[in-house]
Amino acid sequence: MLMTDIDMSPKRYSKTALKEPGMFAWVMHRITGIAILLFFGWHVIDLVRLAYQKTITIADLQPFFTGYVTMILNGIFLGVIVFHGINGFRVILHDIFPSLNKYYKQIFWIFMILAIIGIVVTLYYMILFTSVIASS
Amino acid sequence: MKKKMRKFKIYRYDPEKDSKPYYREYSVETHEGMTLLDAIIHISENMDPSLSVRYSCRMSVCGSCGMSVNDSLKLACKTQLETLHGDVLKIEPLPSMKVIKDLVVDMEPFLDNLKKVKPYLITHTPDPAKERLQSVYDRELIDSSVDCILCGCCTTSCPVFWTDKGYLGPAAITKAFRFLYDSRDEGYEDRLHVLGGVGGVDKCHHAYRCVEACPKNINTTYAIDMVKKLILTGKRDTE
Repeated sequence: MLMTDIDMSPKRYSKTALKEPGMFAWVMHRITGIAILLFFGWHVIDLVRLAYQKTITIADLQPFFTGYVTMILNGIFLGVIVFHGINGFRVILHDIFPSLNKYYKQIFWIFMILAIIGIVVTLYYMILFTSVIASS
Repeated sequence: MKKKMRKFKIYRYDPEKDSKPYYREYSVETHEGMTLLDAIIHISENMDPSLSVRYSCRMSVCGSCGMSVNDSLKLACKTQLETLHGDVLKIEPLPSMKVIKDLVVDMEPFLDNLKKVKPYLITHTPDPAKERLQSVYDRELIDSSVDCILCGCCTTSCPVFWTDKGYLGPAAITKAFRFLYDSRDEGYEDRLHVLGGVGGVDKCHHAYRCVEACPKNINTTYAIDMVKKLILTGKRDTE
């Protein structure tokens, strides 16, 4: 059997490798890093735009907290930041204590559970805060 | 002896003849205890003499037969066919390296990086009358890294090495660790500028692909982190 157009580039391997916790964390750390950078760029531009307004009322800011689209975006962004932060701590932990490297899979799952707990708790307070603003 | 027909889908590419790489399938009657290398040698000797593969010792010592099997890197001589699952076994050369022919890749970038870390014992003090002694405890510190056979599975599985051939790679750094943490070695200063410089240990981002790939079960990331720690603190962590 003959086949042509075979992709021998590492990209194909990275798809398989994503099933491994270390590689998944490595790829996601970069993606979330770029996402944070883009968000902060947008955030700074938005702040500059607001600064040129003569007066800023609570009504101007309300869409950022009560709109469904911004709420979903904030939720996604929260997950991105928590994952990036928690994974960063995991890498630092391995740097400081090299002997922990043999338990890297277990440590990965512990930190991922911590990330999920962090996201759930912060989301709870975010929704609580939003409902307070909406009712005021 | 239990016999079974198995299919092997092998990567074929001869840069002098083929415009593109392709796969060719072979059916081999395998038996209990047969290794992947046995099957490839069988194909090469009896079915397709044009198939090229690099091997030597057939007992996981020389590190010549590293290859990709079903997208994970293994030593062909050490891999029992019974441990491999799937109807068709996909055999490819080590990823991200230039293919010389079929399963044979150009290991020059890998070996060049290895040379940079000076993978030999460096001493500056005069030779003792008899020998440089090493305690059992000191030997245990470098125990796992001594097993490295430089097959290249770790380095070629590293996503950082895929994009930057200037990165030393796990194999070279593990070899450096083996000598830096050798109680008899005095070459810290000689290796520091390479390990702490561009393409050195800081390029490791803990993807752990090297640990997964190592056929000798060496924790290469541990070795890299120990070298990082040595560079940072300037002393061996021998606890």
